[in-house]
Amino acid sequence: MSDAPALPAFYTEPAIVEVDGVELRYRRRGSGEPLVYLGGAEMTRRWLPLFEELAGGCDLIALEGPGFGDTPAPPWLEGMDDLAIFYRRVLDALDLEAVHLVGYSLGAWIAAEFAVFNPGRLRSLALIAPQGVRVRGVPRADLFNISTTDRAQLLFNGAAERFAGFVGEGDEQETFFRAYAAAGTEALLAWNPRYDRKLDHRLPALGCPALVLCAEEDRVVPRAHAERYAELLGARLVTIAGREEPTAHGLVAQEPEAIAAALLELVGAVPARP
Amino acid sequence: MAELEFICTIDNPYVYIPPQLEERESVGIDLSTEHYDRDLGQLTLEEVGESVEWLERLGFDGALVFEQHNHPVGLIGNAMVGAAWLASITRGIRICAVGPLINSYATPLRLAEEVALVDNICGGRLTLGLPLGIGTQYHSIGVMNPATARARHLEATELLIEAMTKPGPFAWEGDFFDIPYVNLWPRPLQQPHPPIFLPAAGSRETLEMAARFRFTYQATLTPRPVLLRNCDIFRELCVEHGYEADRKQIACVVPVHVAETDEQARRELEHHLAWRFQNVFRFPFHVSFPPGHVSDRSLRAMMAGGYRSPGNDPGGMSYDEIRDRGLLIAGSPETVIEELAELTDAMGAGRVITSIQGSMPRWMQLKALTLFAQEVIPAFRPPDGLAVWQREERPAYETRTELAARLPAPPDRPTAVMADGTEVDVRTAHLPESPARRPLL
Repeated sequence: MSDAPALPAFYTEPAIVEVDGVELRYRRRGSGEPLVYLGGAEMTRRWLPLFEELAGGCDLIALEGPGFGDTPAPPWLEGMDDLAIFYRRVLDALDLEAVHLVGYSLGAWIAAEFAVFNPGRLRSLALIAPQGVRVRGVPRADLFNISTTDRAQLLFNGAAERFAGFVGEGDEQETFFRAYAAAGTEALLAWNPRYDRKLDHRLPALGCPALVLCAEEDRVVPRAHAERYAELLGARLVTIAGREEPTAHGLVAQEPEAIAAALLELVGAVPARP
Repeated sequence: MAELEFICTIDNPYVYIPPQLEERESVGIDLSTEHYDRDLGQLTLEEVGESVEWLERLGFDGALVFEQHNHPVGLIGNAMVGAAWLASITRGIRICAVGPLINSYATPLRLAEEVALVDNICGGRLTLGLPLGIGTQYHSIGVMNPATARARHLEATELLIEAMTKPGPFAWEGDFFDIPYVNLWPRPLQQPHPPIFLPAAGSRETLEMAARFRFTYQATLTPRPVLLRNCDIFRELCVEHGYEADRKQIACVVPVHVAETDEQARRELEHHLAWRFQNVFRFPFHVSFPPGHVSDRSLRAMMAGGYRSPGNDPGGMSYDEIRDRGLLIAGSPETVIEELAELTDAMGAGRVITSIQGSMPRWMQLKALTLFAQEVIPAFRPPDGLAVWQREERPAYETRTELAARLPAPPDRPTAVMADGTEVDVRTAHLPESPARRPLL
């Protein structure tokens, strides 16, 4: 029997860039326009099929944020503002001036915060099933009062077994421990409030090409949140349809081709820099 | 036999709830208030007041209330308000508020004020507890983040202690609190401050904190080897802080039920215990441990210790299993004396915190407490049988004659300047011959 730690499906060895005392894990492939991907609490530590699709049309840089996946949480991390500054330094360290930024779920909220503080570093902003805005009366699901297994089911509308490779960490114990650690970072950033009401005022001033993608039946972040983001950004809202069943919050695992096509279309529509 | 102090928890759970038969079900966060009946709620609270009167008359050393939020596990949502009430209906027994969730206060200075107030109105009988708060609490308070709770709890505690002990005003510039004028009025009666308990399941951070502040480590019952190891670690930490822990600095939390015989104890208790473990203290992991509540290292250690493995869920344990695991002491007075002595000696504990089984008929609770007081407690007391509160010196005066005898001349007098320019001591200025009436220069 091996003592080697369990690894999730799609696991790949990450590259590491050290910024502000953090050994940030990331995965990068492809060529062309730089597209930076900020994920949520789930589906870290792997090269997702979505990344493979995207790498076919751009220079994809998928970052594993502090406190998620294998990137440790630094002592200075207290809130979204710390990340907005941190990721600017990450772009500097990777020698990226302006990028196409894509965020998913909690990562979309982080991307929105990055955007409002660093508009000059953006070529475009795309948000997938985004958390982070307040829509009164339709809060996002309570991700802090749910078991690991129920959370996985919520992500895939009850069909988590078919997507085990996306949410598992190789074995049950490791999945449990890692999910708890990631949720701890999530709580640090978003326990209370579970939105940033200032985005209502800040996002409309952003003025960069933007796109919002949402699922057909998202039980984690209600569709109204994506609609609100689209309204604030003046962006197009695209619903990603499922080929076999209605898409869920885990749409990045369910429909990588359609999502990659929409994202690359946005990238292609922004005139390349000289 | 080593002397022991006996404190009894008197918080009542609201027992009229639907059965939580599945392990996943939990009353911890969101059992609907549709299940609450106002009359039964009033009764549940009223019984707490009745219990403190029983305990005082029976000669227990202390009565303890905690605070619970958002669920029927206890209806006292503010330990300090509860303590103020209990203080006002008793004369001697120690009132233990264990305790307010300091993290639920916007500022610990509000808590400092409450502590000082209650300590004054009860004549210096207050014991305070500063729990970090069980996981369920975080979902309802709105201002406590489990991911920052430990750091905030530590700073809030430091500030609370300084506010009570250091002359004010002074400034506090912390990570969580920036307060230009910390200036606590009134001051607590007990010096340097009321005794403080720190409930702990055994995390090293909490033990370290208890040792550093010379708090009483309130040892939540865990499997025996872990419990004894924690007590050793606590004593070692006290030595590291330059002193030897007093036995009273370890309080053993264990439900105790005394009946005429061992078999009678089982007959009376068995089903109440099952109800309690199945319905009240049976939270699924994610309810007990909101994200960030424990570190990755602690979590892995907990799981290695078999937390909530199928054989370790108290909800599924038999009476004998619960007894065998040392999670309960019950039986005849002789059995209880023997087991209490054995457990507290093993722990090196000088205090016992027991509890009333809230689902038990009131008359049976009183019978058990009476047997406890008359046939168990004396074995752990000096020959006179007196409770600690009957023996200890009180900081408070009891009568005005006592006050007059010890009253020093006040350093400052209440003074006013009248229209004619004279400065008067307003307490005697109505007397024409008042010596305090004198012209200003």
